[in-house]
Amino acid sequence: MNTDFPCTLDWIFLDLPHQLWELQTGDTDAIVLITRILHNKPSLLFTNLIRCYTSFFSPDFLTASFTFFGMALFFIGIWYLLQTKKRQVLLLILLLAPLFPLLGIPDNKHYQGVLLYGLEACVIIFGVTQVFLWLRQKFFSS
Amino acid sequence: MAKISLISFFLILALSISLRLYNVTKVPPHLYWDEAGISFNSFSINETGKDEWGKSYPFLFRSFGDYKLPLYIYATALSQKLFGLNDFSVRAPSILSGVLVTALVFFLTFELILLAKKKYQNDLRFQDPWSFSLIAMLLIAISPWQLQFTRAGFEASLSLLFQIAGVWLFLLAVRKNICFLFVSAFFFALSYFTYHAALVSTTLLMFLLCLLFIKFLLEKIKLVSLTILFFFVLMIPFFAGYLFDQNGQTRARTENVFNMKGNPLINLSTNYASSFSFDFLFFKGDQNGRHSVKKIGELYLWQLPFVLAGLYFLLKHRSKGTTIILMMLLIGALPPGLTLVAPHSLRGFLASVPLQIICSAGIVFAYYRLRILRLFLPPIIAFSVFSYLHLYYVFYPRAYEADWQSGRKEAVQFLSKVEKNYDEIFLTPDLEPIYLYLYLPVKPALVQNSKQHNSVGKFVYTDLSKSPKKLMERENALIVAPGWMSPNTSLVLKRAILDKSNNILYRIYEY
Repeated sequence: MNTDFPCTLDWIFLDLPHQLWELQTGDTDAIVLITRILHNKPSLLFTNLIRCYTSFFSPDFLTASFTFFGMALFFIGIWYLLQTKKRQVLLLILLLAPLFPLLGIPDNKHYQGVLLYGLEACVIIFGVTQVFLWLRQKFFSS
Repeated sequence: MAKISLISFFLILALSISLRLYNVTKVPPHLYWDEAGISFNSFSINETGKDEWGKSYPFLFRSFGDYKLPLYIYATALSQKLFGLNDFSVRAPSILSGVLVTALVFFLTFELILLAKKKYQNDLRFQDPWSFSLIAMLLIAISPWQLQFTRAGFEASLSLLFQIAGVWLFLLAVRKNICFLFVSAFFFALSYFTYHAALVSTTLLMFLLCLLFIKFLLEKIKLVSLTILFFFVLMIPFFAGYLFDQNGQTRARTENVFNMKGNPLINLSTNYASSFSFDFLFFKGDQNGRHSVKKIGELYLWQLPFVLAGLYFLLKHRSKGTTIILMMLLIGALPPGLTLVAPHSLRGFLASVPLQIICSAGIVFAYYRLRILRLFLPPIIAFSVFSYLHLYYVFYPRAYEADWQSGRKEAVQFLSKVEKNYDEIFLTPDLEPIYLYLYLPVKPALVQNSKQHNSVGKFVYTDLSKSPKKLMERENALIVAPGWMSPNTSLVLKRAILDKSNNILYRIYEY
């Protein structure tokens, strides 16, 4: 599994001036005030943070990490997780997972990978068990 | 309530029309080559009844060798009869489709909610299908994905119109009158004649719709059989011209996922999943400069929580309506999955509609839970639309002008002005012949007769690595050199064609 995560806080801050420069270059004829309102550091920072955070739950990332079936089982797992009584706690733990690679905690990338993929794999395993239970109930219950 | 909803319907429709019409010939900045190809072939059909290669009323238009499906070209021919040969006429069918899709999404969502309402009669959220449908309609009207393709001459927009009309009429046939099934079949058939991706998406869509309502269809087996017969009769030209003609399958053969290196199944699943990538949907969009502004996603970022909430809400309240929405979404993402480039917003254009319907469900769901959203959501939507329009009208035409084949029109317009002063004009393929034909314009009969498409009248296509040979030694000639060639100081520069950032695209010399 790839632990060389490209979308990190360091990348966000490094890329910010470049993105701002690109947007403002394309806007030379526009009204400065409007450009400032629409293309500013806080909004870009916010967008990039959300982008990086959500990328760790994105179907393409999950497919690359766990294959297509792994991705499907992850979302099945999430669906069943939402039906459980302790869903708030479990979801909170899961939602913390992308923060490890995003914030670069701990320093070692392999540890970040273990934490992220480990938590995602737990959801996949949960998904597998739920599918198994559903199949048993549907086809093998008396 | 109904009166307010009716007014809202027409207001949203007016918004949809104005967003699709405003400055449509200037943004996108130029006609890209497919639009130019469509426009000239339509002109040729209007003038001579033949395409640019001299084939009478063809089913497949050879064009650049990509064998275009016919419906958009014939629609453009009709639009050229109304508006003349100009940039607007090739975009008009797409604009009209965009507006009609906005209206149809209202009716489709209405039908889908009625299906859910049947099952959840006590649920307050399903009691008002008007709000659901109006929100979905508004989202389609302002959607960057929709606006990008319905403001330019893309066949996919017309194909989407037929697919949405087909699904809506199918549902209407189930609920009201079985006779609508004929009209539904007619629209589904039309989608096949419009865009290549429909072969996959429409086929699956029809098959699964029939499967979903199999009980109902079996009850009316006589009429259903007649409809199937009617559909196959409509499809005869398609089978003859597309499936049994090697040329028809050129695109499918060259672009399919099996031409990629590696395991086809892994490639297919990776491509398919990438159509649902958050980066593609909410942050960056399609990375082809013609397919998005690249700085925001195919949907607005604020839609992300509502799409997730909508999915949860719809899965929690499962009905045939939910199945149809999810089916459209999953089928819509299939054509990009089956082809080389993914994610691909044009081939996956069908997915843009279910995503907006899911988002509208999410908004309704969230409104009932968090009333405070009534305060925050409208300004957020207004800001994001304004922000997108600013990107689209100000940033996009400058930053991605090259993706729209900039400079061709200006160069040809200059040549048409000075043409009478010269005996020969030498060009390279960097100024594609189709732009020359379209903007001079050249009589289609002349193009049809020049079989190699390497010279028309005094315009001669040549390779500038050698000096072009003049017919007579002392004649006046022009050379159109592309901007990437270094300036030739021994020749007299007549005109330099610049883009919006003042980069030289063409140099026109006296020779």
